[in-house]
Amino acid sequence: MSTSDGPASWASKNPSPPFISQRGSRVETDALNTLVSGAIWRAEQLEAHGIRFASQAWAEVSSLEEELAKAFPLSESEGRIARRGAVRAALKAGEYARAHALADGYLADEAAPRSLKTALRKILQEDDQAIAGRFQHAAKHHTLREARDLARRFREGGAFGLAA
Amino acid sequence: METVAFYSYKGGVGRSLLLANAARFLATLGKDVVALDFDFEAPGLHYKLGDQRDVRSVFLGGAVPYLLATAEGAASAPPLEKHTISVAVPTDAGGWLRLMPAGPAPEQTYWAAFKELGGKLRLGDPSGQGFMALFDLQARIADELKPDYLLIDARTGVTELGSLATTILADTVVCMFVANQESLDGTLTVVEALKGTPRLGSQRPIRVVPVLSRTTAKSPEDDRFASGVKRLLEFGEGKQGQNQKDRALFALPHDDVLGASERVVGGERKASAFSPLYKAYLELFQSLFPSGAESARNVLERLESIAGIRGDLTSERSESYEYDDLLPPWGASLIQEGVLYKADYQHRGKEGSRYADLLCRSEGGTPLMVVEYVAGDPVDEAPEFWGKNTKVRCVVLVGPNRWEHRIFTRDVNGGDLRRVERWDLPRPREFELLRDVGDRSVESMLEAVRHGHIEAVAWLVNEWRDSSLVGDIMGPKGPRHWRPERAQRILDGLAAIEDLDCAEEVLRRAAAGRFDHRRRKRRFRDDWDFGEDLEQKMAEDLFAPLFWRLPVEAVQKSMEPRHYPGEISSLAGYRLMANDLMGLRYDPDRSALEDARLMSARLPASRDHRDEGEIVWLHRSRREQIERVRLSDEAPPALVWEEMLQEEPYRRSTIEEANEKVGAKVKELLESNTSLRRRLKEVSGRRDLATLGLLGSYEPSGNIDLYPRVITAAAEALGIPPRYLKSVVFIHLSVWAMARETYDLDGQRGYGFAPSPRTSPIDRESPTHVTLVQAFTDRLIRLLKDPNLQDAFEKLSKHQPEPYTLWAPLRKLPLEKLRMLLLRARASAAALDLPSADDSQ
Repeated sequence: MSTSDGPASWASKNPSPPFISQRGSRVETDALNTLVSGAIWRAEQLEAHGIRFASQAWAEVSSLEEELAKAFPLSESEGRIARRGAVRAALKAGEYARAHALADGYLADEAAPRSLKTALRKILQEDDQAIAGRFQHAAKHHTLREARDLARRFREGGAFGLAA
Repeated sequence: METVAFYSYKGGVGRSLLLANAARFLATLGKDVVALDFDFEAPGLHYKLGDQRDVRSVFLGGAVPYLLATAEGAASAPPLEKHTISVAVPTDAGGWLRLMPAGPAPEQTYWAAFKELGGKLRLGDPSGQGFMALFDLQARIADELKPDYLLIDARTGVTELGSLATTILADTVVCMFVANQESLDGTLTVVEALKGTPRLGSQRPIRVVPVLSRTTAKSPEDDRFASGVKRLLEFGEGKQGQNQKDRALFALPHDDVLGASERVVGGERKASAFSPLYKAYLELFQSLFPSGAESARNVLERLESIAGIRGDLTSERSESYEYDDLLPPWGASLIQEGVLYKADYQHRGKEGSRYADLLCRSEGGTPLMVVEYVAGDPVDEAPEFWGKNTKVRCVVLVGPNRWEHRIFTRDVNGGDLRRVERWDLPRPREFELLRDVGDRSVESMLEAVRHGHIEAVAWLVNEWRDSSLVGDIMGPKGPRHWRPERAQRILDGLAAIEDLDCAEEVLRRAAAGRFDHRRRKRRFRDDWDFGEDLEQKMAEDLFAPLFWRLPVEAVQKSMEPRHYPGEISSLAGYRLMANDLMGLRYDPDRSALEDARLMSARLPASRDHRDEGEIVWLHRSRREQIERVRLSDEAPPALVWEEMLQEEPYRRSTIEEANEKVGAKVKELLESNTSLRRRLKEVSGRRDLATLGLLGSYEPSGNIDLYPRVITAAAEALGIPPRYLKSVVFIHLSVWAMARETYDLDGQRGYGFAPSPRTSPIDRESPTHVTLVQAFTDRLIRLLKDPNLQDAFEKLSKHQPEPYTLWAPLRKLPLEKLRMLLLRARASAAALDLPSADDSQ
């Protein structure tokens, strides 16, 4: 499954906006697009072959997509695609908290079009369904919300809630 | 599915062992059980439930590999079959037990997987996947295996997995702790947390059952500990006391054996597995598993009952019946436990199979007795089944109260098993003693004695004693009744004993002084003061008649000390003759002391030496008492003189040569049964069968010699059993001894009543003395009411010299008159005016 709408296709149609790296150097978004394409291909290959570093590769994809999202405004389709890609890749990486944090940020943006919000919510919903699908037996008895609620309490209170 | 987690704040409390026992117990009740080892850091449930070698070497699954596969997002769920092991359960009750071990610990592969799982299974992950993985495992077990119970061995201490297993997965948490403040405080903290943990919408409120483990008598009882326990009981369930308000902790006693071996006994129906710890387990299970509470109670009742019966069978009896002392209990190796016996037999349309809780075998392996627990079963089916399908001779049916067991027995030759009144459980030796262990009648016991089973002697002596008590007196088995006819039957039966060992045993047991104070107190009630009187009665009414009626060889042996050299044999037999019959007093100790004083007066010695001399004589007297009766192989004087007189060369050769020749001839005669019988027939034909001198002899020194070869030959000649003739001779010679050695009211002994020293054929004993001795012999035999002795005495006297035959006319004399004659004869035989033979008409 691809997590983006195809960075190569949109990169060829649009002029590359400038991208400032963490070290302050100017990077062309075309280069980022090239990197993210390679990262996606690599992550998909690792996942297809069941190699355990796939989640790390998806985390890399998510980070690159996030950078692209910063580089492209919401008004541009590249920006919307990158936002969806960042959330989806984070979920694939198993970084549920990060994915939700990204999604919450993107959804909170007043400029975000309705279609993007719907798409982001669908991505999160699909992920929930995927988890429920992995744990079919558990899902018959408990909701994911319950599990997350327990996880939260567990994080806060520790074993037996004694640390709360 | 009910999920029960077993948790402990500290390790080493027997948590896994309790879980293993619970799992096995539930499976034997027909429940389906999965045991899950969540103690990933120190897994060991597979050591208690499964074959750990299989788990380590063959099995690669388990909870850790399973969760790792899940956490890695396996495309399809790992098959549960590869991660669980089927555990054998002891019965075919229909339940099963599967174990999901933590993994193949302690192999390296397990620890590698466990390390990897730590990074993957993030329980606090906000996606909820960690929790979902755990929920999924629990739910898969519920959906696919469909057990009745999931038992989880939770990690000790305050850990993530331990916390989740107890707070999230469990419906019930068993919190185990030991009796120290540290363990209690930690447990209390966790229990409070457990009760405060919010539950999921689909879950019931959590049940907490605190269990105090490894208790000993030295468990702390201070206020702080007690208040902690009280608080624990506010949160958790406890054992209900007799009053509604009373609640106590469930407590598991320390058990060196089970605790050390970690043997899993849960569900075990064998009595040998029963212990205080197992009992405590069952009490806990009644509360912990309400659906199995009744079964747990039944198992507990069954085991308590059977273990009690097994204990009775294998231990000495507390009651002090001497009979029981001689019957050793069943050896543990002779008792087989838990035998399911299947047969084609049908009863009322039901297939035939029964479960023998205990099967007792002989040393040779022959099944002798079945003990079956039959609570609720129709009773008549059991004995019918065992009777028709096996050759066991006894069936014991026992219910929840083992004291109310029922015993069924049958004859050694078979037949139906019949209910008997017997209460105590048969011992292995009894199956040899008795044809039917349910028949402990006098006749049956006497038959056992006739077959040489010495153990029955004690029983018969006891029964004689119980039957002879006048009035209804409470005994250990209820009121005793006076049954003189039964007592007489026992006495006559004992008197007929041929076996010398048994006869000796009879005399030893019937003799007075058998009971010291402690044994008497055990034997008789404290407030019942008849012990010594009863012993006196036994000596007079049982020992004394048997002393004269039992084979002389046994009498002789019974007088030998058995326990210590100075042991004094009973004189009751002689006293019956001397005191009751002859009106004289028999006191050998007094005689010995008098003789000692007489001797020491003749010897110039100091006072001290005189005292020592008396003691020496006293001991000597007692020794002589023991050695008084001898069965001699020497030649009777009468036989020797008869040979000498027939020896022609005697008159021509020297006396020494003649003696030597005669000695050889008599020896040859004694060694040839045929010649001896011919000679005795000849002697009896001429009515010269003298008791004194031929069949036996009495020396003034006090010795009584019997010549068994001659007596046997004479008995054959007369057509009477030798043992009775021997007794007649013994009585006759004893009358001689008593007539001479006893004291009259003046304190005089009968020195005038001397038998012939037999130094020559001319020296003959006084005919008057012989007649008197025969008269008292007849009186004693009549007193004994023994027809065999009477017959032997009368047949013998018909072949004896005239003085031996005059007892018949003397029967008419009153006893007092006879005693007067005896007194006069003791003083001077010539002064008597005895009736002649003609007077017998």
